[in-house]
Amino acid sequence: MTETTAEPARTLRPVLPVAAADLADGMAFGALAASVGMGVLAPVAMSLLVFSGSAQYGAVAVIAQHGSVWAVVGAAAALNARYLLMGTTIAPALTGSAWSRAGTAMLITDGSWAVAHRGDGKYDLQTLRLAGALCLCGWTAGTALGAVLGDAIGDPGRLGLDAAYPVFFLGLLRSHLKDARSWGLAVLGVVTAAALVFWAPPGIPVLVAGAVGGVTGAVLGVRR
Amino acid sequence: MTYQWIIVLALGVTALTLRVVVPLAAGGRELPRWLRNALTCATPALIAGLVVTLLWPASGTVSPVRTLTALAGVGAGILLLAGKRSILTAMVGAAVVTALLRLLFG
Repeated sequence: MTETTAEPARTLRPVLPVAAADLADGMAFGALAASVGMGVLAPVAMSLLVFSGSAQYGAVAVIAQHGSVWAVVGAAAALNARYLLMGTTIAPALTGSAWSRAGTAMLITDGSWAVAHRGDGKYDLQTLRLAGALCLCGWTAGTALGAVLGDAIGDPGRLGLDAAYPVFFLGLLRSHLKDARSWGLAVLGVVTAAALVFWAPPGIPVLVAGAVGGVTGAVLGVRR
Repeated sequence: MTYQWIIVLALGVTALTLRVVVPLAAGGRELPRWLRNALTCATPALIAGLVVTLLWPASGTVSPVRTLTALAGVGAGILLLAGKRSILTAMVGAAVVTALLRLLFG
């Protein structure tokens, strides 16, 4: 697994709508957080530090009910456990200092990780950093706007950007489906996630789908 | 420190730890062959799993109109991808179709 480089402008084009969607989603999150009495600073700090929509929405729901801190941490750990797997896939390509490795790893999101993947275990770290930074800016700026403006922003969902997310990942998946094996692994991921999504806690279906693909790969080996 | 700031910090520490622990512990090291194989094969399955969970409403509070309009938009995006259009074109197409349908059906 090595680092590769590609033309950032070309590879980042698909990330722009994702960053725009993060901006819109961040606005909705900021408005929601402000509505439960979190003010402006706390939601913005949360977006900067946590950078995970699902975990943050879960936290706001718990805050609104004055729930347990441990409940929030447990839910966030389940929702973000997939970052352990993603971190493991890029770890061999991270060769810099500890600060540099940690800085890059903090920019791992679903989108930045997927768009940086070049196939066969190779990752373009420059693309990962740029895409992650772009999404972090969109998400945090959106949170600030939403928290300040509150209900005045209306419903960001009317822009339809939530439909762009799955298409982004489908487009990236398309570039990886080069043979029967990769098709089989993708189908395995779909079936596993679909079987779990109805009843398993959020975050777990994705993690298990990746783990099942990984175990299958370890058992069968990779065709050279 | 207030309750909400404790949650912000606890959540931040949890998220940061999950992101950086493996890159810090194993960064730059060559992985065993069996693990390389496993991780290479995990990627398509993980991305496919992400698509499934993104298509599934995150909570029961999401209205059927919102879900159906999003699915219609995703369908338009899939058609564009199948027609060899770029990811960006497919994403914009999906968003436009969804936005137009929401404008029409509320």
